[in-house]
Amino acid sequence: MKLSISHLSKQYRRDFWGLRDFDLELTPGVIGLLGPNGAGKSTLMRMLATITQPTEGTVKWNDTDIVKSPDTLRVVLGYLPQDFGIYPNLTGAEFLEYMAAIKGMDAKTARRRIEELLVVVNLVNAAKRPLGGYSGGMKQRVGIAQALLNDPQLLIVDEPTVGLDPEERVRFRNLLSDLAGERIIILSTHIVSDVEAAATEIVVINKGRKIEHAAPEKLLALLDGKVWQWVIPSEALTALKQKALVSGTIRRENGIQVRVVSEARPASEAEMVTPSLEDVYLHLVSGSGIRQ
Amino acid sequence: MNTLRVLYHMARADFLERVRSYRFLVMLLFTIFATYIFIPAPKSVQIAGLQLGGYRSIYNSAWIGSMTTLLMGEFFLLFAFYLLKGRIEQDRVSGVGQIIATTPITKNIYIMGKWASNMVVVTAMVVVIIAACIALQYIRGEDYSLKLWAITSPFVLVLLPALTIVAVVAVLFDSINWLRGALGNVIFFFIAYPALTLALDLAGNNIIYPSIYRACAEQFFNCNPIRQIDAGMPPLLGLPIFPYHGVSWTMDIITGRLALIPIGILIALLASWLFHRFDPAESETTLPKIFLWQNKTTPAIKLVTSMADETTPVFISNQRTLTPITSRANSSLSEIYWQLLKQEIKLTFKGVSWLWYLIAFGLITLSLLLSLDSTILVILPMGWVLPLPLWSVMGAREARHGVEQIIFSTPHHLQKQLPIAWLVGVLIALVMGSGIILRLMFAGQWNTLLAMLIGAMFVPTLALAMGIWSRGSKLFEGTYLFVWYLSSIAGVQILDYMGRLPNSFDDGIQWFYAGVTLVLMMACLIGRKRQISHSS
Repeated sequence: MKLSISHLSKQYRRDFWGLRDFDLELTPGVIGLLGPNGAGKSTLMRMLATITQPTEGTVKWNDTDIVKSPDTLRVVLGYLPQDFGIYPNLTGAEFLEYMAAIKGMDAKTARRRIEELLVVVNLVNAAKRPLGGYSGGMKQRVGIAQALLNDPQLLIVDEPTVGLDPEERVRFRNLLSDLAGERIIILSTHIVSDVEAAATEIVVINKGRKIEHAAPEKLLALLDGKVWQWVIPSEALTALKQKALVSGTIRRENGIQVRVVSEARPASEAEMVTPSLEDVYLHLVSGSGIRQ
Repeated sequence: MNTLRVLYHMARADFLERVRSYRFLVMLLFTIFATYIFIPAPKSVQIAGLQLGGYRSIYNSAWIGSMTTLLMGEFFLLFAFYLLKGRIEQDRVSGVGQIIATTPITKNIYIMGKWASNMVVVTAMVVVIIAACIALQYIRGEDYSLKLWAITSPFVLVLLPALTIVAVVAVLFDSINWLRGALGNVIFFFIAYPALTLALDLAGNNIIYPSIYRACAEQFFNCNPIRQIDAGMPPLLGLPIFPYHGVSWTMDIITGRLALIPIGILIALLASWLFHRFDPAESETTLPKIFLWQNKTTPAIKLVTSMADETTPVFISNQRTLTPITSRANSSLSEIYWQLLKQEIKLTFKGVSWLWYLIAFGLITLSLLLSLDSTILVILPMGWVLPLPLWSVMGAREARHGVEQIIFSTPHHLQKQLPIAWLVGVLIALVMGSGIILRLMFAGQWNTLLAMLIGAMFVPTLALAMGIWSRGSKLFEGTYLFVWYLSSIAGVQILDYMGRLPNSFDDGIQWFYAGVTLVLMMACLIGRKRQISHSS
């Protein structure tokens, strides 16, 4: 099972490319797609989900070109878009029954999966209420359930934790980890902690281009010995931000504790700390490399 | 000054939002096409025209302006209502309404802003119509001297004031929860529009037609004294010609038309009074539920509270595991289609009130009890207008509820979901006509039956095609009600898609609709294929 993306590009206007020359080879596991807003994540997701035609390049699912034969992938695809609606008059269970029929599932399997999924996404008590009355988080969970209905081999989830409360977010991350195995899961988000918890590989994307693809530990190794932490007076923060990549701040009694990514020790009192994925992500998307 | 600025920006934003849509372009092309039809080449059949008793004027500026204004008054005002309606609903659905509700803007200003933006849209369309009229005067080439006032004055002094009323009534219908949907469209068509036309002479029949009649009567004896618009009339070529120089615009006429503006302001104030300012708690209709078609909303506040009460612990110790699907080919094709059909039917009828079923049952029962002739003439049209809200969401449902990306990324959509959605529409027509179908079979009236079956396929195919291409239900609702009216009430034979009229079969009308249905089916396939690859 593999998904091969080769020279994939999407041009929206004559002078604007949403994605440019994107290459990636994916095998089973959870792939975290990280990037700032407007980086091209959703464009990539929509092309992989067969609903947007690429301008250039190919996407192959097990060597079948999905631009030419989208249904080959659609049969095994689960997709949760970033923005989606629901049919407000249907109940949660009815909406899932409808989606199961559209996905070509037989009634018996559909019933079993829906029953199980309602438990998994914690919607058993709300299953018989019209979707029009669901809260944002509940709608998101219905979206997650519909994506998992057909036990997809390729699961694409675009900003799946938006609208979920902290507990549900943790629950969803655990679910993704449980689902990983003989399937490819692409998790797109700009929330680093979501990826940190679930991803076996991470792809960082910015301004429509891939800028890094590696296992989390390899990405963390990029900044080994380059992340520093110390406390500075509040008024010194602005000046520090101008000359160094500040990846975090916490207010303390005696000033502000800062995390800085730097090749050399940025201050005599700075202590070297273990890099986090957030440090790596900010370092990569800042595009300026490590400032001295 | 600040109020005017707010109004300006509201109207501007709303106008830009609309004119930049693909739908507006389609509407504009449709309007130009209508103008082209209303000013046919003298050799061509008149699809719709003034019935003057066998006379005509030449295509000069005055005649083109007055005649087109009368025809537009008959057709464009209705069309404009369906075009303009839905802007407040759009704010509600998009969530912008919630933001607007938290700003200091008053309900009066908001409603006036919507009215103003409606006016800007229709004024732009009228300008396009006038431009098309000028172009057609030269294309038809019977009189090359362009008189700008003669060609524009009927539009400016008759059509635009009438559109002022239509624009504000569209806002009024948008402000009232239970008039927002298909029920409101039906009420406007059958009640509000005829009432407004009669009371206010919106189309300007009593202003323009007397001038035409006088000009005709000065030359000929038996000119038609009553303004009559017919469809499918013979070509103009060879008809006796009378000179026409336009309407004499007196101060009485002008003040009479200007009086429509204060009436519009009163309607706007009523709309403002009834507008709930996007309060979800007020979204429930004040009408009994039996009158509801669809779009039931539940107050968000109530839901959030009830959900909080029912939330189960997040981490369940013995959380259910998901059973893997080991084989993806264990269900037969017939079972897949059967499941899909059941679900589409459920989706289509979800939210339909018991009153609808009661009326449907009553009509089917009546079609079995009354004489066959009266059943075909009266019950069939009623039976085929009742499902309007069900048909009108076909093809548009996915866009309306924002599920396109989810639905269109499922396998074999074009081969499965689309034909099943179409089939549900056809089944509705067949069930509504089931009593008549049985009677025709027993009576051996196979020709009428065939024509009716073609009609049963034509209507949902038209709905599906219009829903797919316009991504909304209003285009079908407006078009279908109009065609239905001309077919059922006015008896225009070319529009007899139900096969009701005695000579329709012999004249091959059913084959025309069979052909149109096939073309529409292709349009459905092409449109949906396009949507699937552009649903982002």
